[in-house]
Amino acid sequence: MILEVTNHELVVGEIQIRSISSSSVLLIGDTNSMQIFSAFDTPSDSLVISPLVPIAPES
Amino acid sequence: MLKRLSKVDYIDVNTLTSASQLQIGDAKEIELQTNALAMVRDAEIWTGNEGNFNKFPIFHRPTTWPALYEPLVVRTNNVKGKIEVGKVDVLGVANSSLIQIGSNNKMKSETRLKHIRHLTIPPDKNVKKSTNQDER
Repeated sequence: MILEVTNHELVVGEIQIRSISSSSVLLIGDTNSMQIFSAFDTPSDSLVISPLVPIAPES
Repeated sequence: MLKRLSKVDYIDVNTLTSASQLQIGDAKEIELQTNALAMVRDAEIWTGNEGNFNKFPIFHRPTTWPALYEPLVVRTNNVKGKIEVGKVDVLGVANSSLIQIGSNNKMKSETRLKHIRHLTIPPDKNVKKSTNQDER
């Protein structure tokens, strides 16, 4: 498969972003490849109700 | 591949945290990684040795990366070799994120984040009774 790309003029006035988070990318330029991975875990069992004991202590 | 020039007149970034990067200029390869455990506890007591990543499966499950090379021939024709941006305004950049003004070849970024909320119970109280209290 052949992909032919023609880049003409690209002029942007203003970019306003509140936040870039968890493996996100703001790229003003070119790149050949990009690999982005994000794992986020907030399951229902992440609410722990227990006496004050250390969570997952180092051995 | 002929790369374009990037021109930004003004950039304002308030905060960069947790393996984030603000790259001004070209790069060849960028790799970022974060492992984070976000603990919220109602009592401000921390033993200092908590948070062993090995005990949570999210931190060692295999990563499924998108393919790096695909059977694709890309022909890029840059008519005007410039990308112009007047102003960039970013409040926060976090967790292996990247802002780059310039070109790159290969970038790889990985974030693993686990949230835990820990509600503590005084040791002398019955566990079942305490979970039913609305104040918690």
